[in-house]
Amino acid sequence: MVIKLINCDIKLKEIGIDMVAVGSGSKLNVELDKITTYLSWDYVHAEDSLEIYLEDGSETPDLSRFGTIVESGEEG
Amino acid sequence: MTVLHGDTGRVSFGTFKETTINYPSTMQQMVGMGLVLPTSEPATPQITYTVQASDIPTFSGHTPFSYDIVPLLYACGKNSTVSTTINFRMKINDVSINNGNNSSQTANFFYTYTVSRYAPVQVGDVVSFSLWSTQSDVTLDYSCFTTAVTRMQLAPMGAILKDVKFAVGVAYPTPTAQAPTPTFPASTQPFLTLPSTNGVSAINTVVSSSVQHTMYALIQDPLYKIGRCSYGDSINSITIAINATNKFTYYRNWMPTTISFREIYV
Repeated sequence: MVIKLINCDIKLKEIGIDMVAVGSGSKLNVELDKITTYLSWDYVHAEDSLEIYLEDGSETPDLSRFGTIVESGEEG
Repeated sequence: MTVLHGDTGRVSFGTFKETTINYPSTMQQMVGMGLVLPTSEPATPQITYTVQASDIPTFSGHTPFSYDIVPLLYACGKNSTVSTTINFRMKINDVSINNGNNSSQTANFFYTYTVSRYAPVQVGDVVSFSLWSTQSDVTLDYSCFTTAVTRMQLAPMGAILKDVKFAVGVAYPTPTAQAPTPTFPASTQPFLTLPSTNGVSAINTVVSSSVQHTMYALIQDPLYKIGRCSYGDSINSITIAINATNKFTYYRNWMPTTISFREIYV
């Protein structure tokens, strides 16, 4: 299952993560580990979008603190 | 033969044109890196390539009006003795393009990253890739780099391309070091994806490893032009592949060596 969020930059900075900064990926790992078990994540700077991949069938966590959810569903 | 549009002097049916695409035969590479990934993001990327003219496909015959060159970067090594999370960051000219993470990678497997983000580059641009891990025994052994061409505009926008022939595709790129093992695509996978606005949405595979495709007519899309290559454009991603025995399991494209057509204006 993949969940796509947009407008993440502002939200992430509110929790102390600037994705441009060195070490930001590790900080995001820590925050995600607090609320879910994920397979991978992917942040695209030009789109300010974050995709989080979860096991199919897993419960969707509350990811609103990372951005605005625009897509959520099983992978095709 | 050229047919003019009444007495306007405008060309209605253009001459035969053929574009030949010459792909680089060698890749920049970093052999025997023998690095151990740090457990936090390095300030300086381990992998850096400056795009050279020799990395870029060239054209002979009819030259496209425009096209995009996108980077294709590969990085491979070996996972930890325990389940591993690997993190990455891609930059171009020191500007972040993509951050990401792959968790729970199988212990003792080899990993390969195919870095194929749609991020057009030109000669002199610097493409870099950083890796770090949650474990302190993950290695980075080899990397190589080239580029791919995509979104070729072969004629003025508004022209209809008629009798378009795509040559049988060639596998590209073709790295040679580290006993590389291509994992995808198979010969039936789409290699040049056409947007539906081309009017041929039923055909999204026009280049394959075994069949020469001919299209009666093709309209160039305002954004994607004649279509997109897979890795580097329509598959716009940084993808990890892991394998128990193959050190270098990479994703590639099948690309045409020639495209021929005539222009029509109505």
